[in-house]
Formats: sequence, structure tokens, C-alpha cells
Amino acid sequence: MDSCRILVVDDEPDLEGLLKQRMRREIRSGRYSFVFARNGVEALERLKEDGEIDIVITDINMPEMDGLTLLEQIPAYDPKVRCVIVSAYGDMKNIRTAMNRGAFDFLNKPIDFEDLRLTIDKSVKHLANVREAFEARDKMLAEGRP
Amino acid sequence: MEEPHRILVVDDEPDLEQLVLQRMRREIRRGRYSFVFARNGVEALERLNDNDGGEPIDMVLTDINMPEMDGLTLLKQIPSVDPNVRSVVVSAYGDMKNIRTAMNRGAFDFVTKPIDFEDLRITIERTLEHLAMLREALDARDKLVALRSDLDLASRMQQSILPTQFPESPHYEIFGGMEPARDVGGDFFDVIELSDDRIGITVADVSGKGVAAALFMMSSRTLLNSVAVARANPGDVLGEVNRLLRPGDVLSEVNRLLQENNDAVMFVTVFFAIFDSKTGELVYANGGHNPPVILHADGSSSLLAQAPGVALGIAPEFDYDMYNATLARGDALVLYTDGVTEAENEKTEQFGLDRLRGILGGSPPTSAKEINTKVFESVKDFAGRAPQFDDITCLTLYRRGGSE
Repeated sequence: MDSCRILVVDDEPDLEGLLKQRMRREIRSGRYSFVFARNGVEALERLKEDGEIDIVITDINMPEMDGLTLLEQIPAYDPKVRCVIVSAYGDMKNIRTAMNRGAFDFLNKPIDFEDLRLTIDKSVKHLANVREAFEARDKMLAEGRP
Repeated sequence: MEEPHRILVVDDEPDLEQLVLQRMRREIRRGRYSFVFARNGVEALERLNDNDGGEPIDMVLTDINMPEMDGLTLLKQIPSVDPNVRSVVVSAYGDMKNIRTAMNRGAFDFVTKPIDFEDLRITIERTLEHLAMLREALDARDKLVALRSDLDLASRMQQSILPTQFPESPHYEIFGGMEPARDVGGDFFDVIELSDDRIGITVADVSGKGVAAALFMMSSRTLLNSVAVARANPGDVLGEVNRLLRPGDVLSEVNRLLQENNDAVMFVTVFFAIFDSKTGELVYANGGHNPPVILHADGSSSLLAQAPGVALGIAPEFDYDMYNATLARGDALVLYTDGVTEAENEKTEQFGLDRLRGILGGSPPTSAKEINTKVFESVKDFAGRAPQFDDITCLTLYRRGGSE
């Protein structure tokens, strides 16, 4: 599988260290690479300047711009990016809101890293299918003219 | 009207069926959704496999705990029955373990009990939206595959109708070739054996690329070939082919094949000559094609006297005049398309007519095949790694009997 670039958005700095530690194998093998942002505003800046983000994993409660607002903004920056929301365990209301605003999936706190891996891999697979189909459409439009 | 989206609801409690039918009655009445029901996973798979002859099922809404086959097992089975169906799981409120398992087994989303029908509506709409987007893209992919195979077929047909064997005569030698561009283009050349030691020779270039150009090229070539046999005057040949060509007919066929509107005007530039191999007399007409080059036995070169005429397929009543020239013994006539003169190198400079005359001049011509091969090699060397945008075609006629 190709490498996957993941933007992690959380105002708590602990998550960055934890992810780098728990995902060190995947990072070392080049399967995952991580970019970090502290809130929704920073996240949108990263999306714009990086240009290669596949998946955004975002917390909900953050200063400046929260995760649910970020979720609504992302399609305008890159409609192919898939977004996964991290919520407090069993916070059904926020999870449902996030899903209905177009989140691809969600994760609970504290993060279960096996669940995180499955969720990332599922998103990557889904993205690959969507991209392949859209690339075909674009080529079709380019080649279809006599 | 658009068919309703079919949703399979899987639950062992019969209450849900009534509740869904009651709460979604507006959507059902408007023809937006239609529901199919199953009591467990096994029944659900049966419905997916054989939908009583109805429209295919778009999405599955399934409970988790059910007899015979539960919802989580059903989720794993669905992709092998229909990979394009999306599933939404109904779980007990806050049953995180089952919800996470369902999501990781490929559920598109979930709703919780008791069902919030507003949430369910949004969830269904979002699922259908996702499906529509995916289907559109998948359709495009299928069409792309079909289009590529059409282009491939057109390219092979185009190649297969070009001559590979040339008439042999003590009076002359003739040799031609075409190097197709990656996209199917519309160049062709032909050598037609006529009575009394005469041959018809032609080089042509159809405007445009792709399947349309290939079809137009094939009909042009067939018409030219059949008309040439019946007419002694090259001007009359071009005039009749021009009248018969009726690009509109070809285009409507192409449009049908591509299911696309094509308002591009198609035309074909054609140089056609009849060569009398005994006398060396050349009678010719030109429908907007590049002027052929004559290589003389003394090593000099000249252009065949211009024969003005418009490309075929543009003006149905155009009269093409006939012109005369004589190919002296030891002379060669080089016919080519703009794929030769407009070939570009990496600095986007064009090969050009001067360069063509330059590489062929200087020494007396001795063989048609040698001259033709030299043209292709020179263009290839000149272009280097620059991409080839157009078909490259060259046909050379050499009149024997000079100083050899």
C-alpha cells in the first residue's frame, strides 16, 4: 500500500508524542506520515500548504475553531480528504453530528490504537477506490473528445 | 421519473417495519425511497441475491442482534454479494463496542435505538449521495475502458488497410510508410494499379484525431480507391470523392458511436497523381495537401508545380483542376504529410520543408525505399525525445533508368 499522510488536529500536545511512539513502526516503514495542528484554523493552513494530506483526524473541543466546524470547512479545501472525528467515549450527540456533517468515521478517547490502525487503513482503501474512479472520469473527459 | 432508492431493512422485530413505513410515508409516497424487509441476515442475503425481480438494492439498514445470522456477520457477507451496496447499522444507544466493530467491518454509518428519524433521514441521504458519486465515477471508468478499446481497434484497422506490398516494375520503384502518433490520427497513403502501366498514388491527412478521424480516413481511402479505377483525370477523381465523401454521414455515425456531439468540421487534404510508368508523365490534382518534392537525377530538388485546390469535405461542388508534369529518368517524387515537416524537436523547432529538401538533395536518388527510410530516420533524429503529435507519412516514387 502507498504511504498515507495524516493530519492530526488536537490542542493537547500529548497526542503528538503518543502517536509518534505508538505508530513508530508504521512511521519508520513509511506507511504513515503525520502532520500536526493545534486547532481548526491551523489545520486548514496545513491542508493548504501541504497539499498531500489524505486523512484528517481531529478532536472536537479546541480553541479558535472546533472539530465540527473544521469538518464543514474541509471539503472546500480538498473534497477528497477523509475526516475522522475523535470524541469523548460514548458522546453520541457529537458523534452523530460529526457523521451527519460528513465525517468518514469516528474514534473514542482514550484512543484504541488498534481501532485507529483499522480506521486509517479502511480510509486509505476507500480513498484509493474513490481516486481511481475519479481519475478515470477525468481521463475520460480528456480523451473522450474526437 | 427517477426510480425510488431501494433500502433493505433487516430486523427480527416486526415493529420496525411498521414504524419505518409510517415515519417514511412521505418519502415512499413521493417515490424517493422504497423499502424491502428481512427478518435476519440469511433472509437479507437472499433478498440481495434475488430481489423478486425488482430494482437492485442500494443500501441496507440492519439491526445487530438477530437469530440465524446477526448484523455484524451480515456486514462481512454483503460485499461478496454486491460490493456497491452500503450498509448502516442500528445499535443500542451507546453500545460502542458493537458500533466500532460494525464501522471497522465496513459499515458506512450507524444509527442508535430508539431511532431518531431525522438522523436516519440525514444518514440515508448521505449514504445515497455517496453511492451516486461513486457510481458516476465507476460508469466513467467503464466508459474509459470501452473508449480505449475503440481507439485501439481504430488504430489497428487504420494500420491494416495501408499497403505493405508495392508493385514491382522495370520502369519504377515505389515505397511508402506511416508512423502513427500515439492517438489515432488520420494519415493514409495508397498505390493503386491501373491499366496500361499506369499507377495511382496518393497521400492524405484527415483533420483531427481519435476514432472519428480514423473512420473518416477509412471512408476517404475506400472512396478514393474505387473512384480512381474508373476515372482517368485526377481532377475528376478528387471532385467525385469530394462529392461522395459527405462528411455529415460519417460524422453522424461517429456521434452515435461516441454518444457525444461533435460539431468539429472534418476534412481531408489529398494529393492524388496518376503516373504513366512508360512515359514518365505525371497528371495530378491537389486538395489542399503539402506540395510534393521532386529529387532530380543531378542531385538538385524542386517542388512539384502548385495545383491549388481546397481540402476534400469542405466545398461539395469544388472543381479540381488537373496538372501535368514529367518525371525524368532517375528522378524521384516524394509525397509526405505535415507530420514530416511539422515534426518538433525538444526546442519546439519544426523539421520544415527546407530541412527535408536538404537531407534528400546533394546526390542523385537511387532507390525509393532508401529515400523513404532516410526521411523517417531524419525526422526521428531531429525530434529526439520530443513527443510525436501527428502521424508521419511518406511515399516515394523513383523512375528507374537514369545514370544507373
